[in-house]
Amino acid sequence: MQFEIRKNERSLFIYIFVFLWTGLASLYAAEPVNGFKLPVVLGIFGVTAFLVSHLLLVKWEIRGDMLLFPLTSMLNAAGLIIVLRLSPDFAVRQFIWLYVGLAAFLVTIRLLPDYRKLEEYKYLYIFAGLLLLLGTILFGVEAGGARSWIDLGFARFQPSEVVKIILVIFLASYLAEKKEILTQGTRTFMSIPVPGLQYAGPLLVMWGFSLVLLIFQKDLGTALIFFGTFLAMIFIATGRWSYIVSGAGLFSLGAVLCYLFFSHVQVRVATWLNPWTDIDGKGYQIIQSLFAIGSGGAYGTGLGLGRPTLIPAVHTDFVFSAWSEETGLLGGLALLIIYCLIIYRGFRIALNSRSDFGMLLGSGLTSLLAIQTLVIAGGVIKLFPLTGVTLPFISYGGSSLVSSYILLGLLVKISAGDGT
Amino acid sequence: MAVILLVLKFTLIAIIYFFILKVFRIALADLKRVSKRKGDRSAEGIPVSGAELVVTGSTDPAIRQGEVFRLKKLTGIGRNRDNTVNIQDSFVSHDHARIIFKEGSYILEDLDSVNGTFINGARIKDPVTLEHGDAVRIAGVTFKFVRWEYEVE
Repeated sequence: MQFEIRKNERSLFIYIFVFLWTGLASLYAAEPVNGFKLPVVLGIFGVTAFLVSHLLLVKWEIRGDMLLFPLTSMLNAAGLIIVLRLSPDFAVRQFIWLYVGLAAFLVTIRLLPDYRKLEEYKYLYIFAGLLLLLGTILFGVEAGGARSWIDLGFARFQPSEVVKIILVIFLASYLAEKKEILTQGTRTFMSIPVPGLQYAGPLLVMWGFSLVLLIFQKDLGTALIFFGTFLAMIFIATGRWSYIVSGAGLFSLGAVLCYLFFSHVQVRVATWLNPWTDIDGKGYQIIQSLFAIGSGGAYGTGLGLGRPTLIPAVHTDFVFSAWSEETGLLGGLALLIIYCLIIYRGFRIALNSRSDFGMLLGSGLTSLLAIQTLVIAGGVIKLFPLTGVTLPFISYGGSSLVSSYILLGLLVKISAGDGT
Repeated sequence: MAVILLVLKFTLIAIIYFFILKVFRIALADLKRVSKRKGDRSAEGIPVSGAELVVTGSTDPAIRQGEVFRLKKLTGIGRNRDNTVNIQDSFVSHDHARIIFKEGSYILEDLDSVNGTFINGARIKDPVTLEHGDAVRIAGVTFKFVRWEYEVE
């Protein structure tokens, strides 16, 4: 085994392990009545999971990016600590999902021979994506206001998490092929080159796709992420503002229509503009979130010493508020800095990629992660209307964690380039 | 007890920031290394990225196997003497094909040659973006397209 490679990654993991154990120790010190067995067992399992994954990457001599995996592991460690603090039951399940997620990450890196092969099956993806989406609409069960789950009996699974990645792969291969035509246009309208209807098609299809999500699944957040990622990718591929402008126009149109026809959208907007009129009802969740973040102050209350459990759905959508309450502004900012670093590395990988497909795939996956983080972190601090999506790598949730790790695997794969 | 909690609280936050600092340092060192390499190269007048055609097989005695043609913004291939890649073979047209560097990629275009230009065994009709490792064949000469760039780390 060549211990020389991925040395930087190894040195960063030492910080993560110390961090994980300090967090678990703080939880025990805050509430010794919960016993020390669970934190110790989970701590050992957590360290083993990351260490084994790292060593496997070394053994397989993967020479890709060395910062992404430690960065996401740090987020994941913070997530495990805060989920354990909020609910020990969920924490045990989250540790199991951690193993599944890391397995998915390693499988993506190891078994995918060359990421560029992905480009060849583009229409299969759109078919698979639509099938999953249709399946959810027909057989889905409702949870947390959104009908976006499929019940498998032993576990519930959220297809839209997987569809997100499939969609980015599809768009990357589609845009890599049609880039020139979409940039130059086939006819002109008032001296501006406009692509013919067949090329504007995907824009309309994606718009429809997002609207269907919105209408049938009531899943505002995911719809927003889909459309946002799509606009980012088409802009990266063509460099033309006209797509952003027309896309934003379509989005506004869709948003206004939904606002007029759906009461749950009206509620979201109303609680965003002024939650205080209905403190005990519809505004309760967001107000509790604001109270939590505010009471944390600059340094936080300390792990296990705040009262984040007052927020409904705290372990999934509002995990950022809970973290900010107990570690303060400093802790919250640290997470955001880590997200920024991940996004920086992601775009860097995309820029260094040698093919159009690699560039588009890398930047698409990074945009997806960035938009999702922005939507939920902005939602819980009442910067945007709240839409329930998970905070990547931190929130409780199996589908989200596993798909985030697949995304990470693909990014590392692109950075490793051909061959490995 | 309160002291222990306080110490743990600040240790936890401190560790994250030490971690972030370390990541910053690695990322910066990485950036400096890349820009230094670029600086060295551009000082010598050599571009930081480029591509070349390596001859892997040839029936033309004037072109030896292993010969390297560095690609320019416009590289012409043909029987005419003014082409960068000059092949003296009756199966090669006077201006047979050209490779244009455009927006970061090399595009191979067949200039309506009689005997065609082949990429990985397939004859091309429209301009094709070359990928690292592609085999380009014109009459009896086979080239391997090699893209080189300074690697990340």
